[in-house]
Amino acid sequence: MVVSEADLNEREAAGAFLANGSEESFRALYRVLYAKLVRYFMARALSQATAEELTQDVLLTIYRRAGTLQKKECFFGWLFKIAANCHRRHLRRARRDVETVGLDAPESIGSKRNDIAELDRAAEFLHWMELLEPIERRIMMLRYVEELGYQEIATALSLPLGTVKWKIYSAKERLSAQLAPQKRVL
Amino acid sequence: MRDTFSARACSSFTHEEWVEHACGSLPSSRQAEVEAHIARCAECREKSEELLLVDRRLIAAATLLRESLPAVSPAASQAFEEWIRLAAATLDFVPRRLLRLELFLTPICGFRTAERAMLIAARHALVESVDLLTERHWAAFVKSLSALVGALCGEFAGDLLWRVGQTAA
Repeated sequence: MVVSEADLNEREAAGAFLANGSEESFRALYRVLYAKLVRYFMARALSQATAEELTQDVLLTIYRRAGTLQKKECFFGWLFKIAANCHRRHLRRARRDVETVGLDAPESIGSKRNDIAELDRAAEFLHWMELLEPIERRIMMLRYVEELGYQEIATALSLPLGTVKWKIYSAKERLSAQLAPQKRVL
Repeated sequence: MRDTFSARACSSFTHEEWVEHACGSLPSSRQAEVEAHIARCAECREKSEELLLVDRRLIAAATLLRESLPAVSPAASQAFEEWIRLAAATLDFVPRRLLRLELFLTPICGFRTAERAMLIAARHALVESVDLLTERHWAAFVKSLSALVGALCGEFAGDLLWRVGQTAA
């Protein structure tokens, strides 16, 4: 997966914050992570207001617990582990079933795009995820939407690295079989 | 259900190796062998191309999904700026802790001694000057400063300084 400039900025900001923990470095970090975390929650069917509220919770937790992170290179895995825990707590509070939430296209999708075809294409990824098992779905969302590396996903979901690689591979195989009839259309 | 690599007749490599190859994490020599095999074997080439196509489609679809989500509104950003400003006042950043230590030390041993003790402790924590102290060095710095103050002004003062130097957040 190609590392984008934005991705580099995130990693630089995270590195600077973990190195000195200053207010300035925290500000720089939240500036680059804020939108990413809001998207993380919105892609899992939460409203923008709730997503922003949970994002603030995650960022505050990161600040308070940064000193406890032993492997600095696992920062992004750790970040999304905190985000996943926040999400789970929110769902518990809202008395929803974790497994049935997150697959519907978020209401927010397409709010920038009025075109129906665009709307369908934007929700396509989530429809594909419905074809997978819950654990594969969580892994693939982190891999493709949040663009995490294999080790980061393993940290975020507390899974062995080999399991993450294996699940991604088998998920792609399954999707390949399911999407094959559409192959020539694209 | 379509077959998978592991179920196929082509068994030049183990399933684990195919998985590692797809992740780009095989040792380079083995990676090259798999690539060479794929170039020769039509069946494996077809499967490899299928997986690559799925990967590309997933990347494209995930990008569309990300782009379709509304951007963070300026009002929300401003609200968060305000939140961070307030949080910063309560969070215990390194400069705040340094100031606290200075205010504690100066009346005990005088400004110049306090300044020198902090510089020596910073160097023990492998930092050139007190201004360059970071979260990473903090524990070593406070431990060293506490020992110095303990030697200069008594054990009680050293213990007290150690407590003052702990993170409040």
